[in-house]
Amino acid sequence: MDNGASSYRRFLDGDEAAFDLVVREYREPLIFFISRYVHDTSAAEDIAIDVFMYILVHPKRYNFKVSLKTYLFMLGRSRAVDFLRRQKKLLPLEEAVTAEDYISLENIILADQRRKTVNEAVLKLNTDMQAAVHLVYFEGLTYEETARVMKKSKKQVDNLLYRAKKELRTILGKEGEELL
Amino acid sequence: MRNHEEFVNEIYNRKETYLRNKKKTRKNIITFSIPFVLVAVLYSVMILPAMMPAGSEGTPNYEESTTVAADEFSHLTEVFTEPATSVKQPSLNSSPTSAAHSVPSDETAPTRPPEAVKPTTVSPEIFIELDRAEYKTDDKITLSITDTANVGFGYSKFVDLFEANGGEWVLKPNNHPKPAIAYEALPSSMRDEITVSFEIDLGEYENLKPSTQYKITINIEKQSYEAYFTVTE
Repeated sequence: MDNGASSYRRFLDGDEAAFDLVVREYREPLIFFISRYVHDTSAAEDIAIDVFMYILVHPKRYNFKVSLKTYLFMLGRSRAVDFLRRQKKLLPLEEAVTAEDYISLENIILADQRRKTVNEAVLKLNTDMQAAVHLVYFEGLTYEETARVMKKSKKQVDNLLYRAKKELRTILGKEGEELL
Repeated sequence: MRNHEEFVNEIYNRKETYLRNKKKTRKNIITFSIPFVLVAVLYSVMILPAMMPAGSEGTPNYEESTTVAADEFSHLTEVFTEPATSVKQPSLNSSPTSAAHSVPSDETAPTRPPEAVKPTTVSPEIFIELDRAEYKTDDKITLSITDTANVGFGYSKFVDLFEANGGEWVLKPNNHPKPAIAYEALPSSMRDEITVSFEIDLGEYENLKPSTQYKITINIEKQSYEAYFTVTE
């Protein structure tokens, strides 16, 4: 699996339909990931549109050194952080405004019950831990890729995940031990 | 949440809007920056050289202009070398000399300004002239300053009147504030030469002696320019 790189290459070669494939493949994971930061699905969707628009306007800026998924998540995270910064200046962010959308996304991304249970616990962690757990366990990125997306070192990601697991064990209790 | 089609359409819509805005911004930047660039260019080409002090290296064609001006005004230079007592023509040339040396030490020749015989120090850029060589005590002197271009400066200077007295020049006090000359020179690229005339009212000076020689000095650009006249009955 090339994480959409081949579709993107075809898009660079002028195949418009390939871009459609890229969007189809990454739209929901990206929105779900961004909503970890912004806690608002419609805002996350808006940011995701901006991310795809960016790669559409600046196609040559992706250099294939990282997977397309990592690249999209990097762009998504930086825009989400910008969004939060702007929101902070304006009004306090309302949490999970569009709960229904979030649940539908959760159903798509976290297909099985086991993952959903873990996600409920994950939501109680801080944003960085949530993002790290999300990228590694739900999106299957490597530590290196996660570090790139989060603009942290591999060691920092390692530490974040270690602490996240510890907290998750406390939250989930003995029953949750098996889920992790 | 949008479905896939709406999502993709929104991406393309935003792309169009983004490109349109970018184009508009670029156009605006160009539109607003062109006048600024033009002003900056005009300022550096026309105003800055005009503000340069006379004779500075930054003055364009300085060497050439001084030569041309020296040739053009050589007749004035020669006139100036004559003794002041024999001057009968109204045109008196200026001679830039150090203001510190403007008072002669030779007591035997009170009517002849010693610094007048220094044609080598004559600057070809600035000449001052009186309209006559002799005036009555209540006459008005018309003084002309000619700046032969490429020097380009604006100045505001004061005029001093000296009386020849036993081999020395004595400053005559004025009843009013000193007469002042002021003009803003045009940029050197826009003119060949500029002449400024103004009047000095001798009535403002008390106790002017008939049959005595007087000297007018003006300090411009750290140099003293002089012209001589005689007061008659």
